[in-house]
Amino acid sequence: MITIGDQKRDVIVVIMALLWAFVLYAAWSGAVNKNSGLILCGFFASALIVGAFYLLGAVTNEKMPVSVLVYPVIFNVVCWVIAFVMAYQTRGQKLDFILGMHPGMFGAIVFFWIGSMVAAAVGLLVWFDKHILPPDKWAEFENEVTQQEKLH
Amino acid sequence: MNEQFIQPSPWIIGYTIVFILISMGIGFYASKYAKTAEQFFGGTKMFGGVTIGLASMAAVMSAFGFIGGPGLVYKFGMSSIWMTIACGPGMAYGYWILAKRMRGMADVTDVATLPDIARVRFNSQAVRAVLAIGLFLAAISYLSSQVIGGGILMNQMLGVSNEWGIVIMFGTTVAYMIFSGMSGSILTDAFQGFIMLIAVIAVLVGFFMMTGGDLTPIMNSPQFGPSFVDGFGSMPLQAALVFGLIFFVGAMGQPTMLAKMYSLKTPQDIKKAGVIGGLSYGVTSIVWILCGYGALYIVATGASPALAKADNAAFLFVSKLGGVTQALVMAGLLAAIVSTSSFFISLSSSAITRDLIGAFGHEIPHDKQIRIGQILQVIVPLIAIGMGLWGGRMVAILGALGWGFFASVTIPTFAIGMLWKRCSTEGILTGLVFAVISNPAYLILENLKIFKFPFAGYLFCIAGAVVLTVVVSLFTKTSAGENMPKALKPIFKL
Repeated sequence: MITIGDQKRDVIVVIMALLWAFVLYAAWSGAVNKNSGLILCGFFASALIVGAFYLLGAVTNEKMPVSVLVYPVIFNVVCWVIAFVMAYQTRGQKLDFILGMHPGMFGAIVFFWIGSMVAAAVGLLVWFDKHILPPDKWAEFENEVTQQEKLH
Repeated sequence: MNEQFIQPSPWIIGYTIVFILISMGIGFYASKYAKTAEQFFGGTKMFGGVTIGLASMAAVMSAFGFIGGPGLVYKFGMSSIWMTIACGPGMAYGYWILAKRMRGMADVTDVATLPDIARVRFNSQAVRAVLAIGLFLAAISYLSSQVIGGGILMNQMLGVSNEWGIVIMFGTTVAYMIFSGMSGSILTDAFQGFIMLIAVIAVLVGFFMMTGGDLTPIMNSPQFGPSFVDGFGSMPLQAALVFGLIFFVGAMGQPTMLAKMYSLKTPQDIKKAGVIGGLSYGVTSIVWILCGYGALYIVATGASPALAKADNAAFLFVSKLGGVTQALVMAGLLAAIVSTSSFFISLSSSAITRDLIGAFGHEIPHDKQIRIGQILQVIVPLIAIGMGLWGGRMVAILGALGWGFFASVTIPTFAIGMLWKRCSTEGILTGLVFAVISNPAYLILENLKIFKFPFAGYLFCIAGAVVLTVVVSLFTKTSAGENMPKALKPIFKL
């Protein structure tokens, strides 16, 4: 079990803000200077932003099991990286199709689209009751809330 | 009148009339669920996961997705597809990240609107006011773009003029929204989402019968070439970077998603809503992708001359399908527009009735809020129609305020504000004010050809709002950490 307390959250949020700034820089400078390598780095940073939000949102009472860290957090980030690399390496080239798709399109569709879907949607099915919002955690929350006055 | 691709057939006209009548029936039925301000403006804690999942998908997938999307595929190949393939999983991701805390807020306070949550979280009427202004501006802009799309669609479906098409579409939608508000919007959206899923089957069958699933003619066509079928498309590389990130992370910042999170009856419904919303949006993305590639295939194989207007790509593809298939797809397109419109009619009227007036110290009594909301639900579509038909350059500017604007005001407020205790009132106000000013500012500069970002400008607005919110929060303390209202602390344990 990993603990993500308030101080670690501060660090994650600051890193995430830096990643947003980097994506902006990579898109801007990369476009102006025609530096496609820098833009590719921006793609990788965007995958890390997705991972950072997972770290902030997929914890329950400051705890996250290693299994959730591996799937969907790391799984999703890796899927994005594979998709970006495949699309980047094959862009603008006439190549043999894979399952009726250009290899770059195949990477985007299979790893970005389906991969992210398997991470987020299937991940919800697999982990929701066990780790994201176990019924006893919600009961604890309701109990705490009913003992206090409603905010207006 | 537009170039006529579809001949209105008895199938199309009949299916359209049945669709409208059922939508109105559901909308009127929903009025029994809209007795309090929370029910009328928020549908708070009222619906199950399946309804909310389908309604989220239907409200997010708009005229842009079903008409503009295929047009962009026709123009740029794969580039724009990064938007739609990011959005589906992004919806499920949003439920992972935010839904339990948003739903929890409905137990901690009386929630009917998103600014209600922001006011309580940051203990600030100023945050409520700026957020309400941002949401209202973006909602009315979104609505005016639906007006244009709806007019074109009704023209193709029924052969009526654009203006009459708008009157029919918005008139029937407003007729039931007056009685049922957001509750009616959610229930009709769920039905319309179902209609959109039927359209997907029709598109899938039509596409594979037409092309055999072979995109080679597009790659080999001198008119198009490999960049139309590769992974990034013919837009500059940074376009896919911005689309992929903003439409994935930004999905959880769309009011069409966020506002549904507190409409869930029980916390167990979060799972169903996330899975169904994500998967069903993923499935409807097929319309965006295949209608666009279908049109490219038709032109690449010489079955039709090149399109003068890329936005006609979906209609060109549908025009080559059989009568029943055409009717199913066209009803799906109509469902996409109506469902999005009904949500934004409700959102913009509540932003004024409940939030903006309240933020300036004049809380309208709850029993009167519904009456004023109903009046605004007539006035707001009229403003949107006026802007859509006669807005000229202003519409070109405001029409672009949509996804990115919403994300730049809601990602800091909710994604950061609800996930990070240290996020302060000063931080969020700085981020919000930056977002509300920078979005229209960059669009005006681009429209007047004074300055243009080499990428979609909303990346600048979102990244700027996030960075400013975080930096200012690090040095200020109002409503942050231990200064948060005590009643909110259980939320941060979820």
